[in-house]
Amino acid sequence: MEYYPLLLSSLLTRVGNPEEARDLCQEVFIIFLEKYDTIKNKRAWLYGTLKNVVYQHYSRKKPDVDIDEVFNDEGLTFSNGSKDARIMISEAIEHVECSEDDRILLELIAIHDYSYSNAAKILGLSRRQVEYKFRQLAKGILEYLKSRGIKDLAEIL
Amino acid sequence: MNDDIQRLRKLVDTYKLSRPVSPELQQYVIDSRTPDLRNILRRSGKYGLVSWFVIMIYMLFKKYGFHITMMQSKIIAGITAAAVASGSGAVIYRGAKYIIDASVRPPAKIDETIDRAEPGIENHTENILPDAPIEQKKAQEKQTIPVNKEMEDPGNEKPTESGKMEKVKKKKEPEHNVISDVPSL
Repeated sequence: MEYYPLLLSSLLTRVGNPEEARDLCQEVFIIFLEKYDTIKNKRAWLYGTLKNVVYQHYSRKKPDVDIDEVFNDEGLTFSNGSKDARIMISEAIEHVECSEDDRILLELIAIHDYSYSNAAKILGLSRRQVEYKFRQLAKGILEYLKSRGIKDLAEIL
Repeated sequence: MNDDIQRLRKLVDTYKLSRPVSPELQQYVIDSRTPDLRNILRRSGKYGLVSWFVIMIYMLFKKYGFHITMMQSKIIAGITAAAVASGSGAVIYRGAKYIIDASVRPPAKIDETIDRAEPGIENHTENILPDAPIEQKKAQEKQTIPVNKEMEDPGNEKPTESGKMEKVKKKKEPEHNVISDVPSL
């Protein structure tokens, strides 16, 4: 349930139309409920299914849209010319040691640009708690990057 | 500490890792959670009181900082339901038993025995039923002796002509005239 805002936000940025995004998100969660007991990594499963559902949606309704463009985050890295650094940051965000709720918080704030108060509403926490947790997570990610050999962030910024 | 946040934000922006959602859409996401959850449960055929109860327990625990899985939430819901069912069952059983006992129990009977009679009163035992029928009371009232009738007893007086006429008149008069207002013994 806590993944719902995360997936809907992700769909909103990819589909554009809020109503269509909601329908697709519901579709993902209906399949999720059917297979709930057999799923081990819920997060990975949800994102994988989301991708499939979006592919199907575009192939049904907008066949002229280049589907690969919708998920082609990698393409941006080539334009920046720093693919390795980007992958490393993504890894740092993925692998920072935290609970599943904290990871959701991190994605909501860092990736989807949610305000602290809105993230607090979603996670059932206070604004202060969210702010504190996000600070800790940011610190953890930067430490992870240091451990991977990036001593000064100015190198990659 | 705030520097860490700023640097992370800068990194995310530089490498275009962010997929920002506008504040209006953020609110839209927050508002659509509950109706969408209801819709998902309905469409997957799991919409019901039990599933809502399980979700409520899950959310409640989460709110107070206890992270539990859905399975644990189901177990807690089951235990809670069993406790409530057994508790209410016990209350209903006790209530029904009390009502049955109250309806079957015979009416209370008070036995009053006077061991030593007061001077001038004969020894006797009375059975007083609390719900003595009204007819019985009326019958007791009828047994009263009209005191003024005894007073009117002529005794040794010799009946005269006018007196005879009066007696005939009195016989014709209704009976209630002879009943005394003096309370009976």
